[in-house]
Amino acid sequence: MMMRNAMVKLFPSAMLFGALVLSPGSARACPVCDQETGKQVRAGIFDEDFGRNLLAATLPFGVFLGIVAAIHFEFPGGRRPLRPSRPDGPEST
Amino acid sequence: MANDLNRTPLIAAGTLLGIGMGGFVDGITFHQILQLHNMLSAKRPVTDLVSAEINMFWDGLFHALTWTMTAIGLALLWRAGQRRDVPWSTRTFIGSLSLGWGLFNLVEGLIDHHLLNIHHVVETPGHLFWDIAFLASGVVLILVGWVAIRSGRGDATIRGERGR
Repeated sequence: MMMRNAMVKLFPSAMLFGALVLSPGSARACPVCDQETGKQVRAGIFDEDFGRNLLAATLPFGVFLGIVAAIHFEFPGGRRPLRPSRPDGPEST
Repeated sequence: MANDLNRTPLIAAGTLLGIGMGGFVDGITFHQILQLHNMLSAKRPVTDLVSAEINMFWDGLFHALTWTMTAIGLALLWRAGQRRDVPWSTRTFIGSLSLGWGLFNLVEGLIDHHLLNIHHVVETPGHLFWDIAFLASGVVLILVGWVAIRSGRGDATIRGERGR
């Protein structure tokens, strides 16, 4: 709950940051964007292989998240009912 | 289940942090300092400024995703630290970091170096040796992590309770 509140508070700042990064102002700060090199670089990034390259770059991270989710929910031997009784019990967050 | 200890939140957090930090070791050491390879260097070899900048874009995306893994790992660790059923075990945490780093080397190596062939550890004709060595380092790190996590099974100290 605390984390959700913090994320809600941070969301406007994150949106503002994203808008500034993507604004034309940041493009003007780029020293090569209007030059021939910049045009070739953009053409090379956003070519016909862009989708495949994007998939290739992101695929391992999807696998990582899947593995960690499996650990989080299914890790063998993760739970252990050995702790002596506590009067206050676990704190739910 | 009020008296159960649950290590999985700490293991999940440590594993994701290990994946992130392992990714940064790869990106900073191999991509930037040693410049042995870049994200697409097998598809688009770095031969001039344009190809270097195109690879720099994809390296940047790789680092952004690596940062995201680290950030999510930190969030999971923060949440784990707020729970009173999670034992604050150094062995479990260090083992999870090693497990995560090993998973990074193994999964990234298998997908990018062998399956998709978009780059290799060293972009030379003899790259297979280094690619296999990278996978082997992943297996070793996973085994070390697994042993450390198992050795931490008996740890029952909750965060903040040590030294009381």
